[in-house]
Amino acid sequence: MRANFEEFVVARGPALLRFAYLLTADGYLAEDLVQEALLRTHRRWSAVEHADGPEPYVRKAILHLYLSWRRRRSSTETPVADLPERPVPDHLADLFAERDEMWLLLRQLPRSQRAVVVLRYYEDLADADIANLIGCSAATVRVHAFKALKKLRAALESNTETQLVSTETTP
Amino acid sequence: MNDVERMLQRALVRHADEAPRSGQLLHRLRGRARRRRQRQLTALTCGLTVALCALVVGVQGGLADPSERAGQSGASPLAPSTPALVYLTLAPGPVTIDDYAPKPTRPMPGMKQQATIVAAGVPMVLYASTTGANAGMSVQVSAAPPVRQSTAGSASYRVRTHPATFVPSLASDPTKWSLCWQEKPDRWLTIEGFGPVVIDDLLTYAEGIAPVRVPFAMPFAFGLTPSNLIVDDASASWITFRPGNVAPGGVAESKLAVLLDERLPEAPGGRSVQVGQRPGVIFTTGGTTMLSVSQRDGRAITIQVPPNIGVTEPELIRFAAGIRVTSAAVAGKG
Repeated sequence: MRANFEEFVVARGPALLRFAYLLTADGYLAEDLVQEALLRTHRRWSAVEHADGPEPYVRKAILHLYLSWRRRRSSTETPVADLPERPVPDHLADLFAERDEMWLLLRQLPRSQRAVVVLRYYEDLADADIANLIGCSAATVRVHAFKALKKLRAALESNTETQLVSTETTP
Repeated sequence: MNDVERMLQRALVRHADEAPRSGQLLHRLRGRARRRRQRQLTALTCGLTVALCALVVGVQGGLADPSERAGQSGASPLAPSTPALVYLTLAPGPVTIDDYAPKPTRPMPGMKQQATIVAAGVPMVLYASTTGANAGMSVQVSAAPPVRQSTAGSASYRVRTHPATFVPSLASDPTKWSLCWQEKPDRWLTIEGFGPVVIDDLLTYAEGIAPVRVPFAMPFAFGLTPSNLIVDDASASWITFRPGNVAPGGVAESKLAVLLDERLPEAPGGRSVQVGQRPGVIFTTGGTTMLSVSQRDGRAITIQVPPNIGVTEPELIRFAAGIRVTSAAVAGKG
């Protein structure tokens, strides 16, 4: 393998793995996606290296692999129907629980919505850049983001109400 | 940013730290690239290997040991069964591959000669595309015409004075083409490839090929020879030996392999051993015994012994101690 490719892998590997993990929520799959994307990049390294830099190319490859992976396996995946119950927490525990709850909810989002959420709120990309990566219009990105946030808000409110009822009825 | 968006961002930041560590990423990537290249190499040679297996089995049918012939008759290169256990026998003397091999004297436009290998006991020259196109080809000499199920769509040409047949799409694999001609009464030359090909370029290239008897440049020099095993595959990075009851071109998992690695491989649960003057490590993975011996330049010779080949640890170490890396060797790397 070429030296500058290896340097790129060493330097940017951690960030790419974090990106893939947030998309897949699966460590093994994340590493698999990153390896596959890097191998594809390596085959076109000369062109990729001298264009906009290799990282956007690799991220795009990861994203597309993730979207196609989800399509292939969507029929066999079982979404999490119910969130685990938790006691009325103190502030710190509440904060952690809230994040884990959000993580579980994120896993239930459709692939394109989850990709948009990760790119927008973790990678901090503008809608136009997200649209370019996914291969759709900026308006479609905004629709995905809107729907994702709406679903997350509805699920959070529903869970809070369930917990409040549960707390009130507990003797 | 509203409350849900802030919660979302916090959750993503926190869970990003749970991503797998990247320490082994480059190492695993090299391994994956190497495995992929080996698969591509196998795919390239598969057509020729399968076509020639029947031929080579026929040639090997003249082996002196009748028990080997009996073992071969039941084996199939396409559906390998579990071969019977064969105990390794070592004898002094070098391992050589001295057979007819194609010697190209003209370049093939758009292709670059990549390697000379031995597949299923037959030397062949491999080419890869220089333009990035999905194309490649192999050239080899055989003692009989390759077995073809069909020559539909074939065209007749001449290579020097010899009638040659070009098949644009093989029955065994429609993505592959072949050009074949009889050079001498007992020597056939076959060029097989995939991807786009210009027939005039191919014929000009073919005009410059001659079958010559040349020794294969071995990656290793052997002090001790596995006398009851037959050389099956070889390249600049590895050599495999098959027992008589494993068909030529059979699965790698049934053959003793000697490989040159860039460095000592990972050896989970490995045990340190002394191999001659060099340190080594012995371990077992998936029923295969592996012995890796570190070389002075940091590279490592690895011997893989599958479960169907029996050998004691002292014998394996004795065999390993007699292996030297030659100047023709290239370490397998990602």
